[in-house]
Amino acid sequence: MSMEVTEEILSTFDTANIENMIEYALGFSTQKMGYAGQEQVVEALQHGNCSVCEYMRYGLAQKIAEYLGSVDNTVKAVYIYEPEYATAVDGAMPDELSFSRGIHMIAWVGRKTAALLSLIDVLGSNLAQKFKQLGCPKANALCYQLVVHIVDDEEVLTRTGYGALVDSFYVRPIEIWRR
Amino acid sequence: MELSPFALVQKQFDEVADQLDLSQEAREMLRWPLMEIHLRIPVRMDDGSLHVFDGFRVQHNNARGPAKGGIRFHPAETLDTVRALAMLMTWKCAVADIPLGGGKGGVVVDPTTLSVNEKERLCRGWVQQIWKNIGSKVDVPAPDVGTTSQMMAWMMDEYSGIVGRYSPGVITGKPLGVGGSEGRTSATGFGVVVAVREALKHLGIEPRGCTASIQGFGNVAQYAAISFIEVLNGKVVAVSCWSPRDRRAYTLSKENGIDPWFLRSITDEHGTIDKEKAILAGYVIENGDAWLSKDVDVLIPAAIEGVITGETVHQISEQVKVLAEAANGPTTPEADLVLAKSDIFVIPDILCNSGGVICSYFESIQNEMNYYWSAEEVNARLMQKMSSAFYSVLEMARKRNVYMRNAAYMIAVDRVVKAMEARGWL
Repeated sequence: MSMEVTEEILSTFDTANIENMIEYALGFSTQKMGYAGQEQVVEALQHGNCSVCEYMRYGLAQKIAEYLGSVDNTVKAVYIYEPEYATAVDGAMPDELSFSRGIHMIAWVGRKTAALLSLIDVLGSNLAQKFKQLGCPKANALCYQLVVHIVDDEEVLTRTGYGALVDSFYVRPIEIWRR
Repeated sequence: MELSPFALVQKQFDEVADQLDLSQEAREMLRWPLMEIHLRIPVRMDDGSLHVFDGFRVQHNNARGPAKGGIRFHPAETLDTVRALAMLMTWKCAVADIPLGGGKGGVVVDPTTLSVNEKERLCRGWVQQIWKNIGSKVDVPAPDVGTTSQMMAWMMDEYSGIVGRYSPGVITGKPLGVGGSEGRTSATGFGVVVAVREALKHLGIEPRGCTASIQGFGNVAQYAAISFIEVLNGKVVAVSCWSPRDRRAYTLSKENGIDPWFLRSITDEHGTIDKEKAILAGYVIENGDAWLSKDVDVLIPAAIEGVITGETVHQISEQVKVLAEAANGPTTPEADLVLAKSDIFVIPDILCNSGGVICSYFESIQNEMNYYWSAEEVNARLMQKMSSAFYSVLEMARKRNVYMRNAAYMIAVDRVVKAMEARGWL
């Protein structure tokens, strides 16, 4: 992937993307929590309400998936998944609502590119900063992480690495975007 | 043509049935679930509309006790997958020698698209549809993909209301304070290390001072690392973790042993372990696959499936004596062929990570007594149960001169068949 293409893809990113994603996630969470307004979502987050955070992360994941699909036309599908299901189903559940903190995703692409990887890096850094500003007394560093594993056709077909998770019946990722 | 998940587990069963020389009657009983329920769950949504959700509950076999297995909420859940998992639960409970059968359920839904109130109504609606077919002596569901301990609490509450009495034993995975059990967060990781300890003893290796390398740093990996250090007085010399910032995995190793609490403390806002701080503390940073080739006594894959393949299996050091499958399916069939011929003692996933389901069983017992054990009591009983399960599988492996994975399935199927015979089903 040439430097020009990398720069071209990166140039599509600006902080407005992040603002829009956060805005969408706040609206999604407001609706799902049955709140009257987004300020209640922010207040709930600031009181350490993990139910709200779960919706925020899902809303963000939906928008991240759409965005990745829009800037890289080799992205075929995007999934969200819970890493702990690879080991800890069958009863050993913690008291918290969800196992892992942060947003964990798999992007199935036709071709891996350095541009997409760079974009995810920039997206992750900026998103973590903005999300953190909403404030949560219980949050730690992991809560704001964005983890996107890029897998290609061969990895999915041969079930190699994270490609094995796409159709895993243990982990069961949820497809949140498809071209 | 690729086999479906259920066809795959049936094939696996057929191979075990051949090894055990099972009768045609026994095979007929076990190749398919005894009961399958298709549910339609009407739920009033927040906007006033009515949505009817599809669900399944499969009770594969209950000869040894009530069916046991999780409830999945997933938009692409299928009856085929639920059947496969129900059968695997029969074997898992039998290997662990807990008096439970196998079951599994699913509802076709993406739970995060539901509001909190809709989730609750769906959970209660599920119970309203199926309450006659579940119960502490019938079928005991638990959390699974997409379901949580809060949902279990709602389901327990709904069931208790319908039957007219407090019934915590109808479901496990409940929060503490409403019938949940202490010790469950660490159960699977702790159970892995108990199995490792027994494997080392069997091999005549003193666990104290043994070394391990672990793939992953999630719940099970962390508790496995902590238990390996605290219970076995061993050393975990390497863990591999994913770095979101660098988009790659790293292996962090330290000859004198890693400190899992320290590594947690130096995780930054990107979920990345601070490599500079780790290096300053004497850690060596290597590529993500390095954990597999470490010169250690024990390897513990505890991250994802399919990591030990026909190719990567050859990277395992000759020093490795034990491979403990903490993750589900970390070893591919091609790698298994190599391992079965090697000197490496494999603790198969169905045995190795059964600590969680054993803890679920303990929750049921405590619910029945309406008396709750301390975490120490739970761990002591878990240790006894895992050890006993390990030795039963080992005895089968020795008696039949088979690989541990085969032995685990053989003992599981054999126990179920014996229960069916004792009950006059065969």
